[in-house]
Amino acid sequence: MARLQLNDLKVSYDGKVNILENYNLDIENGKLVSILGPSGCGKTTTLRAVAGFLDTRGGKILIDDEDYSKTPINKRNFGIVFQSYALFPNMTVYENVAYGLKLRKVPVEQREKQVLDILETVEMISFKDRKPENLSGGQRQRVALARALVISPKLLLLDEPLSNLDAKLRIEMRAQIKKMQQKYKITTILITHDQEECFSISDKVAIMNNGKIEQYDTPENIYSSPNSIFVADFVGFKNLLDVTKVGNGLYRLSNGKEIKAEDVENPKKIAIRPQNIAVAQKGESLIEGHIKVRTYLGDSYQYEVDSDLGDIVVNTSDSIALNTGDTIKLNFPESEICVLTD
Amino acid sequence: MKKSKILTIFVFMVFFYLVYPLFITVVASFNSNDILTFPIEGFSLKWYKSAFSSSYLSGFTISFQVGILATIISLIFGVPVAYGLAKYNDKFTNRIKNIFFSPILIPGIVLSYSLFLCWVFIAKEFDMKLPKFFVLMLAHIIILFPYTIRVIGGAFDKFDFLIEDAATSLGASKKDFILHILLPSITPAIVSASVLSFITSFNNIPISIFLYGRGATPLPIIMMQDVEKYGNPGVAAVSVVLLFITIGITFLIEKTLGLNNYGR
Repeated sequence: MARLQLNDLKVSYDGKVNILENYNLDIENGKLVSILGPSGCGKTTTLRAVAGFLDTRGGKILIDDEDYSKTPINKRNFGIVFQSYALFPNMTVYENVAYGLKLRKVPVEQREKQVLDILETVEMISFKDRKPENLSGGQRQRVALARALVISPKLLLLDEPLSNLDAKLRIEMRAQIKKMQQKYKITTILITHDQEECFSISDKVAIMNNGKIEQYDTPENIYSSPNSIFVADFVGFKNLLDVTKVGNGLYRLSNGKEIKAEDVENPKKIAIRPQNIAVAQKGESLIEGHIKVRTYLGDSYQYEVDSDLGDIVVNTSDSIALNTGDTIKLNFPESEICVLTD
Repeated sequence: MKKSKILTIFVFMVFFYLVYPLFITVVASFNSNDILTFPIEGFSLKWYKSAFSSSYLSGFTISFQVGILATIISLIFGVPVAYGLAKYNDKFTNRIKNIFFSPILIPGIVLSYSLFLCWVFIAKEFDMKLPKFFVLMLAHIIILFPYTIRVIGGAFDKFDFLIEDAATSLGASKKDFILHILLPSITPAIVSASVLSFITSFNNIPISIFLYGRGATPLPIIMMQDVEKYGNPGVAAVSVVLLFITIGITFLIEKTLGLNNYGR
């Protein structure tokens, strides 16, 4: 139960180049915030700095206004779940979960009650005497989560916790994480590169690129109105087209045609998702092109269209498939266009 | 599956080649004659009495003490070094690793001679005669160190170093982590390294050859000297005793820990 604020955080590996610079993030009490970004963007660095595994060179890590940036790791009381689970191989499930309480000198009876309680919640009670080597990935993940939560941490840090699980288990486990996080009302940071994973369970998402947060907002807002070209591209706006402004809410595309959209100063590009492009049956259309590649997506077809605006990706739920080489006419519905300035 | 006759014969021959010399030794140790002959001329247990003479027993004690101390000290230094080398696995540590392994490649007798020169140098320049037992132990630590690092390092190769981070985040100090998690996780490797080190030290002649001295002569050196001096079956009897001690230890470890678990 705590509010986390990162104020002007500076982190560097070699003391010369800052991986993170003037890094700011504010997480309200009991919220789950995801940090999403491509590999190498600095998201794991952020988590390791908050956890204390990396020394900060400047700035503050405030938890309820108390600075933790100089507190030793083992005094921070943060729960951490690692991608590799990092369970203690010499201990049973029970001993793994009990270890944090043992170090805190919690009396034996109370310790036992707490450990069994949390093992019950993560549905691992029947495996309590097993060693980690005899558990599946999903089971290890549950133990790792229980071990991090049993110490009633001020903060829960999850470093790509679901990456090593198969697709079905991932969905199950993310529901489990959300359930636990809400039950214990713990302020949580989730590091991930999986957009679906983080959008589905996060209260807020921070999209990172090159050591900076590009956008920090609710999943809904990020999904519908990305604030930069990078974010738009990252969250699935596959079509990014150059535009010049010609009037109030009126933009000219590179093929000379004009479209209407929300009025923005100094626009650079417009973005639209493949599934939001409309296929025109007859009459005027914005784009006309030939189908280059057809992909079957299960509930729809995806076409890569060669047009005078370059390659356009469009999804249609039409049951009749068009063939490679066919001509297709496309329109961009005004309400689905996102205008970007940088 | 049909057994290949040639293969069976081949395996039997290799087995014979490995075991036959030991068989000769066992038989020779019961010889009643005063010189080593084969086949033996009469049955006697008198050499077994000589095997427990004070000279052999003192040699055994020295070898045992040197072996145990060198093993323990090489573990005390070897475990942290192996952990560091495995954790920070890069170009630099790989180069260091080669240096740590070098005592295996340098002939023991060269190492022994070099250390002997050091001893002479210190004795001359500082007028300080280091105790032979101490020098012997130092020399043995040098040759055991590579084995220790190799075996312990094998256990760390599969170790997830995030475990240290996980333990720290739960509130563990460095000491807590080492005592509660690190050492218990590599117990089989520690046992394995200890047995290997002790046997290596106990058997070693080349490294001891320039360094032993009065009151610090290991058993293998005494045995070697006796073969040169007397050539009687006494050494054969000592060999058989050592053989059975080794078999006994192996059997005990197999029963309690399982030899197959070593180094895994």
